Amino acid sequence: MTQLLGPALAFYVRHFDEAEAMRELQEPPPGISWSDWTKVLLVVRSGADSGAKAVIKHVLESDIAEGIRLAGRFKVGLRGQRSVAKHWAMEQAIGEEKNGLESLLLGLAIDGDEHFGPWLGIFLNYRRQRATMLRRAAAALSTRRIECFEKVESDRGWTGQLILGRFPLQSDSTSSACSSWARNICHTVLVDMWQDLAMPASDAGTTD
Amino acid sequence: MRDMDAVIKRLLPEIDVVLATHRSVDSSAQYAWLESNWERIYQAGFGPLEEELAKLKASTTKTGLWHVLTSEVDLLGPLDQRYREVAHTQSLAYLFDPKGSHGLKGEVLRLFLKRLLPAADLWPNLRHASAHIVKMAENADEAEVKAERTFEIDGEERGRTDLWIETPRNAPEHVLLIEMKVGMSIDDKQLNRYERALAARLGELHLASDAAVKVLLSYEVPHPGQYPNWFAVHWRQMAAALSPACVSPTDGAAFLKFYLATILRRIEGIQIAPRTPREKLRLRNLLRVASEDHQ
Repeated sequence: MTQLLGPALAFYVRHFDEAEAMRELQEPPPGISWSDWTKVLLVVRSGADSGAKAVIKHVLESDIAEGIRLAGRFKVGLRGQRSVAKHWAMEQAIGEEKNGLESLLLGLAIDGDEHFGPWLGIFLNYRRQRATMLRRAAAALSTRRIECFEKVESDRGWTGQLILGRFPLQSDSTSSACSSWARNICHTVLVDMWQDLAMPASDAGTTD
Repeated sequence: MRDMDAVIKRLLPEIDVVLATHRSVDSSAQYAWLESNWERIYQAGFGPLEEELAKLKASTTKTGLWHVLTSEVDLLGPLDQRYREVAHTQSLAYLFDPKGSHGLKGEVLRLFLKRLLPAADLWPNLRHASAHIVKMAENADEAEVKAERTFEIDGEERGRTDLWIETPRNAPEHVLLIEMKVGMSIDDKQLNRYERALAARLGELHLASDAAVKVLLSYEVPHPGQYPNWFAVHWRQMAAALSPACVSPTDGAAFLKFYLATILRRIEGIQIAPRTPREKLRLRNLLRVASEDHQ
């Protein structure tokens, strides 16, 4: 039961609402020196980002790796450049399947919002025909009793991905709690459902 | 001086990344310092926010942007098309087309072009475009607008550009190419194909290579210098720039308002009555952009 979050991310999570707002300030607040402002930025931006990356890496390398290996055809650690990006969220692809220009991607992300607070989450993303495929995926997931919702906050890098679950992060969150939560959902999606979620060949599009 | 401020503002997001490669906060003493000074720094940043927001909101009332931000209806949301690039392409093609039934003539295109001028003044690689942009804006009522224009390179590669605009229609002197990204990342190869298509068209028209203006419209604005010959415009900036055309009491202005509401309200999630500090900051930043546009 080791503590998972590094000091910068733990600080960020502990002061979540303020840190979220602070990192978006475009200049030092009036009366705050550059020296002091630099200390803040190092924690709420680069420090929290590095901490989030480390959590994702840790969870991927622990319990999920075995599920991915069982599923056979997936890449671990592929950067999901077409999915969630920027803000303080960090994402890493767990599985990706390409079919012509289409692709289906399963990813792990850290993010947060005003209502839920900071969280670790698992998401699905489609490169093309997103609306159609998301509807199909939501229907398939509901038959497995996995609740999902579309995340639509572009300023945080989310643009319509399907969130399959969120695990609340606290400054003392442990690695075992996070990774066992992630393993359960990932195993179901990767091993039991992947074919139901992938894009049929006949639907592949060809537009730029 | 204002130019320098703008440069610094644009580079600020990178500064902490640069600093992080040289230094890190790793001692417990530094975290203890941060814990004990956090409230002071936070108040310095967000104490004055309410006052500034109130002033900005007061100066925005009755403007086009206010109409957008208070609209309960948006264009693409109910159609489940808000992340569909083609839907955005067609919506903008309609609005930029001076012959469109909206009755706004070239006004929307003119406002878009005007938004490019500060960047043209700021960045050396884009400076040459200023005069072309001004000329295109003058000819906006005579623009030929094509959505999803297909092209072929060397008889092999095929592709489609999102928005292709030539002015004036009958004897083109300039080409405006707009590549849009809604959720997808910018693709270097794709841009390279577009540049080749553009070069081919400029050749046909016997125009110099600098007669083209290239714009990347995206939610993920690239780093300065990443695509040095392209104007990078965020959707939020574009929406703020076009919003003045929403005020006229016409059906075309209503269409524009509902479309911009898709961008600002449904996609960006900007609230006119923000509750959290972050929501307030986002509204403040948008209103600042709009206010700078109008100066």
